[in-house]
Amino acid sequence: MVTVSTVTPVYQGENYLGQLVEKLEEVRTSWTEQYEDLKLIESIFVIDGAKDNSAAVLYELAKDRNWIRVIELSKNYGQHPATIAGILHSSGEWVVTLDEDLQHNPIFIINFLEEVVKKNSDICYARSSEKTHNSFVKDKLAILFKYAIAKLSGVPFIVDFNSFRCIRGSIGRSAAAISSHESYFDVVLCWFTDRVTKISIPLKDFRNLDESAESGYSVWSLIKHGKRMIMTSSIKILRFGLVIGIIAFGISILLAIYALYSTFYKLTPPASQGWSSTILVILFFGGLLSLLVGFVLESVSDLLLNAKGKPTFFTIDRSSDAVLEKTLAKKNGNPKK
Amino acid sequence: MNFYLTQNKYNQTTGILHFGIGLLGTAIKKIILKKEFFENIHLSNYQFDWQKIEHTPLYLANFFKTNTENLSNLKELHIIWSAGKAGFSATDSQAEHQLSQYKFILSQLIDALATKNIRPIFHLMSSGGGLFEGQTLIEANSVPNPQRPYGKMKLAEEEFLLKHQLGFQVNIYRLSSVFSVDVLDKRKGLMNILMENGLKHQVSTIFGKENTIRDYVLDKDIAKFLLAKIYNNEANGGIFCLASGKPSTIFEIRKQIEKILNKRIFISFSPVVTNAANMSYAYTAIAKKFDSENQNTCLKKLYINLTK
Repeated sequence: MVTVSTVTPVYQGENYLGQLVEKLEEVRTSWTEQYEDLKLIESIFVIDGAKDNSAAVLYELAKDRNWIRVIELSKNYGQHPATIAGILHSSGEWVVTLDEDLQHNPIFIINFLEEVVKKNSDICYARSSEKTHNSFVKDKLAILFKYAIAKLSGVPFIVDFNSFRCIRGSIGRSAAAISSHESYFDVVLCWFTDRVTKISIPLKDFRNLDESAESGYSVWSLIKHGKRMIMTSSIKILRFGLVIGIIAFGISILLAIYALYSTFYKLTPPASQGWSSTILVILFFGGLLSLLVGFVLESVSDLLLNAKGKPTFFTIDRSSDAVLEKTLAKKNGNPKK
Repeated sequence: MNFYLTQNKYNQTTGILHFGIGLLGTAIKKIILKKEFFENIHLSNYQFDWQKIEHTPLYLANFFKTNTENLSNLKELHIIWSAGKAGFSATDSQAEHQLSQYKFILSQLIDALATKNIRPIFHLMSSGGGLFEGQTLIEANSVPNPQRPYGKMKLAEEEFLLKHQLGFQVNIYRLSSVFSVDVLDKRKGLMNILMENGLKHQVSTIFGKENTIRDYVLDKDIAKFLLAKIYNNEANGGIFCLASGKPSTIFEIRKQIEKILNKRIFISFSPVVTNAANMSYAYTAIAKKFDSENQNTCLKKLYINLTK
């Protein structure tokens, strides 16, 4: 039996939670009918200091549904910590995280599973097949921002990051176990695997379309996300300083040789007395300092990653993928032996 | 075999006969003697040689003889069974041997109590891990399906009491993975081993996988739940699943311990994997009123106890 858990952080979802649970229930029931070895065992909702009536709505919904589990955080910690808390309470072999506001339709969970089996992946992100925000500029800016952060952080999968994701349970729980309050969960996930894929599905930001509701996203939050991504991945941006130092130091040595050579052989008359030596001294010591600071920063970065718990290695068992593949194939009337 | 004579919440004289001095047995004894529930406690120890269980009638006769007056005031006797050496890796013969000992002792006890007109109320420590092995998320309606001799033995222990429960009550406690924050000499659980070896810079060998999910409960929480039932006169029979409801991987525990110790701990994973199936408990399966202490807090307490 392949088991799936869903995790939903809840902040202001009272208007959407009823429908979301209904959709999850439909998926759960349809899977039981259609698939022999696939089960949505639990849907975990993490109340992240919700500012509306979400908690009461959820407890009411959970009354008659023993597969719904409600976890309440003591205050508002943010979407990532809430997701991490949910994942740490999950048991499924696959964990799907989805937002509270119906932007992520549970009906597509099966598409995730098909994709991970097909691509032999550990993580699958949703990519919107249509405009998410109904704003061309906002959508394009978000993509551009992600590309820039991917370059700076050295984590190419950043461009695919999305809160609607399907994660192999063992990887999700391990990443959640080492994530701290400042870690960017998706970057931590990439410490455990590079088998990351994506699928195109329609995602619609209903909250953004609903003018009365407050959007959770702003330019400031985008910048904060970017900062956390870079700080979690650390190394690459710090290496930049080291590279500049090496280049400056190298150039200063070459120029010094050239200056000495040209002075000694009087190749060119000095433009002004002392100018070359001043530049060379600045370049030499500036480069040397950058080089040393670069080394120090890289060592600090190493220590930071170590403190954050970046694993030296991680073992994984993907044997249940064969069962999932067989189950999914059977549904399509194409039983595999 | 320990016998405690005390009073419950309603000042009724209460007798508790306790078999087992392992992890749980010790926790139960500690909680009783700490007077967290019962105030006036009279404890007597009785000889019971597990190598000579054929002498059980003699041991019981001695117990009844020395307690004639005490027992004459009792209409009910709580019998806590937390005994047994066999663990998850027990062989068929080891499990069978333990089961036959269990049946023999309890049959003798039931017969003896019947002649004294004392109604036994049984409290049996069973094993959720043994009974539900291989079932990922155990729910309220999950059906036991033991995979190994140990689990089959535990199920047989339950069935033995349930089949013979005419005239007495049976409280069965199905436990998830039990751990302790005390310094132990034997039968140490995963957390105790990882923490102790971490402190000593020694390598711990795990016969599972890093991603294996388990649900951990503290021995004292189980003891408190059971003793509260006795103290509040609420031991009316039933099956109680005692788990925390918080699944944890070995990896997660390792990281928590590393954070507490402020250093990396060394783990070697044995190629002989004996117990790698995931196991967790749905909240709905867990007994009402069962409170389990936060795992991370427990680990900190364990660290304090080990470094005292």
